[in-house]
Amino acid sequence: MHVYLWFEDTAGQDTSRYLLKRMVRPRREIGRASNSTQIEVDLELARNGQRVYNPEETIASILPIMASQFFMFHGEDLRYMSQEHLEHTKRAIELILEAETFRQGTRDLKRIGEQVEKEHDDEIQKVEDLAQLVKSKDHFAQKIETNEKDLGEAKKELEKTKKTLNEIEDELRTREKSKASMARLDDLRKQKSQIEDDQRKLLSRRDGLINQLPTFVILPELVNILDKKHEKHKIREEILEKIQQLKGRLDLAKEVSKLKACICGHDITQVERKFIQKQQEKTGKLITELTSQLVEEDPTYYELRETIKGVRSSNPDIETLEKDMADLRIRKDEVDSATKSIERQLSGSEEEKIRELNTEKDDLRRKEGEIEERIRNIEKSKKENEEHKETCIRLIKQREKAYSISTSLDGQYDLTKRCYDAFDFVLAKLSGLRKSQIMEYSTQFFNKLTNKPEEYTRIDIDDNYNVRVVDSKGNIIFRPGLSTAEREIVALSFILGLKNASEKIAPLVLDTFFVHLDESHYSNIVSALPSFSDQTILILTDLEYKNLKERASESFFESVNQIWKINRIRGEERSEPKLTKEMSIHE
Amino acid sequence: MSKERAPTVLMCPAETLRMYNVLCARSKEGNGGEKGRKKTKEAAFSSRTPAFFLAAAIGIINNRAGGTKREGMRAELTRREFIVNHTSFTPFSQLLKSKYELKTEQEIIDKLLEFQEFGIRELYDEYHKTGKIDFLRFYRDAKAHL
Repeated sequence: MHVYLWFEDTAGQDTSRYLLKRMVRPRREIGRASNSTQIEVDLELARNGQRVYNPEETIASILPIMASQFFMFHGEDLRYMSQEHLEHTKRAIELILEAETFRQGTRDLKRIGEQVEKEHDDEIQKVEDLAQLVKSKDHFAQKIETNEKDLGEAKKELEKTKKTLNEIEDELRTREKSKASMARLDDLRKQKSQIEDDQRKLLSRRDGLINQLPTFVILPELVNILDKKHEKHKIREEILEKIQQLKGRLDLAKEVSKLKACICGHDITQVERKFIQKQQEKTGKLITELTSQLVEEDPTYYELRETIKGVRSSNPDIETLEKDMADLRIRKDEVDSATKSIERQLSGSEEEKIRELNTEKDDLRRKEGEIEERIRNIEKSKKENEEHKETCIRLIKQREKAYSISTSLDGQYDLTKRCYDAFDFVLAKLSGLRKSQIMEYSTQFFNKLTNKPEEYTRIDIDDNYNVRVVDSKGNIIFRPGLSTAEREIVALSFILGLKNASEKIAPLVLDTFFVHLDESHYSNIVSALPSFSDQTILILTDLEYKNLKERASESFFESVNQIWKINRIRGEERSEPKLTKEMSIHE
Repeated sequence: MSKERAPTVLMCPAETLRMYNVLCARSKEGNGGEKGRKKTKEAAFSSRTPAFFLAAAIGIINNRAGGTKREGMRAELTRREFIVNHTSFTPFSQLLKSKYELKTEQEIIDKLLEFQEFGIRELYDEYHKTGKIDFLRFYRDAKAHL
């Protein structure tokens, strides 16, 4: 994407025509950018057709002095500020203290101090014994310089990493809904995998039942055969029983025939004996006859009976299996349909994007930890080097005394050192004072804007320039613990606090600020907005403007002086501002 | 049972083997001429042995047997040990011995081969028409006759 801006500077003797060209594109090696660190920005400026090689400085030089003091915060910058950026906060506070003048003074004095120190060292090196000490001191000074350079780089890298991390977290936050859908999707996929497992188990159960089924199918046939065999078996059993009975009777008759008298005491007569004998013969014949009818037992009868018993007990309950399979199919269909519906909502690229962002976030967190560890190590090394350097200086001083060396440079060196220490001290003191003032002003704004005035009591800035909220119980809530809207409210309150503390009359420009606000914050801001600054410039999208028209009160629109609509002109690749409302400035 | 054993490899007509292959999801036409599992359809049987016994059971209950011309049996259906060591073999042999006065393992297997010819065709036709085998029907029919 590129934006062209033509403007004329008529302030000087000659009118200069400027063309500002700003191009934004993904870095060449990336292809498609997913966050702002993967974007390259080119800024080109041409004056009267000639390219200017320092565009930012040139713009700063042509900006009217009041305009350069505007509190301009781009919506995105505000979002950036609403994250945890300590350096940014510190710079913002120092900005209103005009700390740069102090810093420049300190830098100049340090340079003078270094020059004086060098000359002083050159002089004392003439004493042979001290030369080595001066050399050591220089060696440690160089090491400290390297440490400082490394520290600066590491801090920059840390800042950059934190910025990217915040952007990714912001992006993930805007995809909260998708994240919830993804969690549901993961759950459904787990369910599907469980269903597939159950399906495998059912198929194996089905194979087992199908193995048993053929025997069950022939079971009625087997039962028929057994029934027939059983008939024969029954007849044989009956004959055997009869034979048994007859044999019993025969045995009894034999026993009775051996007796002299009956058990009642009556003597057995000859006639009676003959009768018994006849009966014995008849029974014997009957037994022989029955025995001849007795067929041989079918050896398969008992085997078959056992087999049938086994088949009956191993009932292949295909009915239950089919029911279980049908239930499983319904479950599978439900899960599939729910999965498809979520997948439709959540396009593949969205899912991939969230996973990619999460991986990127984890990598950055790791990197952040590594850089912090590196910073700690560099600081430790720097401290050690400073101690060594101090030892060298102490030793040099001792020897100077011993050799009674005194140079005129000692006094100058001490003076410059005292001067820049004083500058640092004053800056720190002023910073502290302004900090409390900014906290007070920010709290006033915050109390007007927050939707939880009974819960949050004030805004606090700690020694590390960490802006946080203090609740009614005195608990500190750091910005990452707040919602996106709350963080933006904290950031805006802080900026307004800075503006008030700066003692400068400056307009406030808010660019696309309302995007992340919830209903109550929105109402609070809209009602308090006219009192924020003498002049407020709102840059709104068409949707934000429509919202504002619907929600803002009549008194809000009474405070509005001008409304400009910027329309994109199709085919001409340019936009045109059009004044849609002009009112006389409110009395 | 007489020790007269059936041959190690049981043969069947090529047409029968094709039907077994379809039912057991082994299909030559399913995978470019190579043997392999068809992924499109769930296999009706995990192997040929349960299909063989169910086909034989269908033949037995319907008392219908297929052709048994030995000269037509050129395809290798299965191995003897898969059949005789299957749990269904004992009940089937008891039934066939009782019903048809068979004595040897060879006779029993021959009878099974005859009956399965009819059964496998029935199963194949059902699978061909509906894409599945209604096992529940066999189960319910058997249960109703008990």
